[in-house]
Amino acid sequence: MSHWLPPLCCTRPGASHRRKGVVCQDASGWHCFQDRQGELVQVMAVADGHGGARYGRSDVGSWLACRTALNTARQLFQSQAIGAATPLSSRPTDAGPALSEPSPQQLLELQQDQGQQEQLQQDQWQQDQWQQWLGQELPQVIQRRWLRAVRRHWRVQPPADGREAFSPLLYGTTLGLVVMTPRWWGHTGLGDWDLLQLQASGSRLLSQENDPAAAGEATFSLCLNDAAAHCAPRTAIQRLDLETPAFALLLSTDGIRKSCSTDDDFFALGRYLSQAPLPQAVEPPVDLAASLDRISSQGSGDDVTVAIAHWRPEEAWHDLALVPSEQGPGGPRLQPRRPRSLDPKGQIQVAAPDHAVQGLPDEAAAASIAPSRPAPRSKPGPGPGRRPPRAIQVLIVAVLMGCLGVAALALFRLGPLGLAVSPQSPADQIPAEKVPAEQAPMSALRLERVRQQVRELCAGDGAIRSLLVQRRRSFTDLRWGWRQRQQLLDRLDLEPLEALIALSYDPASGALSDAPEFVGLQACPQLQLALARMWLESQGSAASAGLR
Amino acid sequence: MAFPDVQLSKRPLHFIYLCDCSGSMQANGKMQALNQAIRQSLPGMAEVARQNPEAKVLVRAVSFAHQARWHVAEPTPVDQLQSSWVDLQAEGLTAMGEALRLVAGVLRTPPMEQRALPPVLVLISDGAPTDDFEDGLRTLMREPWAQKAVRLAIAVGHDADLDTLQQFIGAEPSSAAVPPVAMPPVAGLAAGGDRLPGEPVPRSGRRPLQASNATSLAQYIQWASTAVVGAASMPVSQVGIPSTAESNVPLPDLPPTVIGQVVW
Repeated sequence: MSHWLPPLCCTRPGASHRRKGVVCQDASGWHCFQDRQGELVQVMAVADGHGGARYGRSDVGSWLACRTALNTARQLFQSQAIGAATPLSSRPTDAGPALSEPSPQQLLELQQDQGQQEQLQQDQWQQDQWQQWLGQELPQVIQRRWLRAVRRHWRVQPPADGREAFSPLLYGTTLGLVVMTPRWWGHTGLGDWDLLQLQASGSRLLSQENDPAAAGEATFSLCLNDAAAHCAPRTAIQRLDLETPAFALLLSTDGIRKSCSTDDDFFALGRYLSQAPLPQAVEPPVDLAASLDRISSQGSGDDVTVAIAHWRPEEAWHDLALVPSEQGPGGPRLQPRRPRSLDPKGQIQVAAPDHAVQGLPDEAAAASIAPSRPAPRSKPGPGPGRRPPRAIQVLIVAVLMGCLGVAALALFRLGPLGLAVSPQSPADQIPAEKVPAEQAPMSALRLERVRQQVRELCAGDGAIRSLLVQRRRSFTDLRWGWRQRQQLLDRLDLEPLEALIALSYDPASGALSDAPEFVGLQACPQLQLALARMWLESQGSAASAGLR
Repeated sequence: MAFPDVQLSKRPLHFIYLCDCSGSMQANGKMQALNQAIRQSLPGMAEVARQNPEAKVLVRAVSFAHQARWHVAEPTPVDQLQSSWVDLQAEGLTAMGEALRLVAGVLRTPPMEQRALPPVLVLISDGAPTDDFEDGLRTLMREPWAQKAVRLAIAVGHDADLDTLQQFIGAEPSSAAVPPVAMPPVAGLAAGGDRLPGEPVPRSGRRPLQASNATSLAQYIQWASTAVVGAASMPVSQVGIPSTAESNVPLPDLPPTVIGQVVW
């Protein structure tokens, strides 16, 4: 169970970037999944590519940083129950002082004291474990995978002149990450992002870059070889229970804070941007895209990104539960949360739960979020044996249903991760690894990427056949269902030819597609013929013999 | 809930001239050339400011001779300065250290804004300091904003104390600062490009710029007021590299060298 609302992310290109035609270098996203024990976990990330000629691919770097961080967090959470599954044998014990012949009353008190003390020590020990995982292990894996991802991108999209050597510096980016579980939340990352905690009692700046080495416009970056080490100082864990009052978290790239004259202004903006939505609300309470555009145009001109999360414990949900329902005389009732990604411009993006990690078998995304088994409450609530009030139970179901609804919408529109990148960013052309929705339509930008591949193939027509033959496996895999169409489409940026193969396939006929998406690519006759031949061949060698 | 009443602001970019007005500047028309160069650079700077509306370019000037004093004390929008610039006058000694202390006083927060862009400090001198320069520099460099500043120096003529000016700029990186990235670049393609053995070290804004005539002085001041201001107006993030002296703002290319008569 979780009392976290699904996060909101929004990334907007900066005013000065728009004016000068500079690509947006910010990226953001969030992820919702269950850990190994079935606990609902949410993760949100922001990244800010450094920009400038020296960091010429930092827009891709920031996008990959978010995607890698979100997928890595999910994968690690699902391979180990962080904290909750701490083996008893390894927990510290405290025998306590030896007392001789205590009275029954003393014995009882002693046992209670020892129990509390052990619980405290155990909690502290677990917190230390989480902190170490969040501040060291997770960043190391993220950086390692990010380096692999940027190197792969470089291989697939080498520089036009071929003279420049690969360096991760080209992809340099910051990364801020917030992990939210039912019993704790924490943050990690490096670079000049800011994290605000906003609650009724006041606002706090929880994390900012203040290392002297990162003075001025300097910042730590994922491309540094000791990047993971710079994450530890930006890492902290906060415990949660139902007594924890409601609060919001606002994770932002530096464009927001640098637009404000003072920190008080920054706090005020944070409070405004992070207003909690009502359960019935279809639209978010704040038009984040418009607000961020305003902040950038009146302020720093830099790219601007926020990722916002809300912790809503019992009291808050109870209050929200009293909001009159549209369902009539049944009394106060919570509505299932509706997806918030309804901005017609597609700027506010909320993603679905996802199993999209490279190399992993495709899984049913929706199944991961559904409460397939009761989430264990390893930390008691307000009191022993106390069950959460019905309003909360209903709300949890509502949140889960909201996640499922969001999943459906996001799979339709966004891909498996809630990665929010500027529509102007070329990173938009880089898909997530997998999208479970089989027939998700492609954006115009991505289609254009495939069109470009078609043009290249048709221009060098002699190579069409040999290039397709090299991808024979993709044809076979698609035909026999070993790979899904969307898996290939998701690799568009890395393998545009495979995306073209996917679009060219009509599963109903097992032959060349005549769907508008493929027809619109305007493939030349030679390419169409070669593709048709490959589909025919994919049925088996006997069937293809006639074409040889 | 309406958009909050917060003060969103363009990031101020403070540009400060530190001008040597010692008696030696009277020789060979150096003072006149400096005034002329500054006047000529202001329209270009104003244009750069217009092209970068997210930065609010504010200019000040310190003159130093027997003592240092503010020539333009208030941070002045560059377009206003075009009509109000008063020529500097040369007289007396070279109180450069005092000038640095004067500037240090305005680089504190407050009065410096928290969200300011890295300031640009341009030191112009034709000689050597006659006061305690070291103390002035220490005072200046204690201020975080001075450490973040883009510090440039222009030597007017060949009598200028280049070592002093280099101290003001800070140590020049021995080679192009390459951060310890997670994977080394391919050998032979070091960042910043290769230089053949014996090839002269290229001119760099991280070294004092030597102006030997009025044209080159004007050119350097123009470069500082336009190209550098442009770069500082829209800075890109730099990878944090402890222990390197890389400029906080990547300096743009210097203008091509003017081959002209060596007057000073």
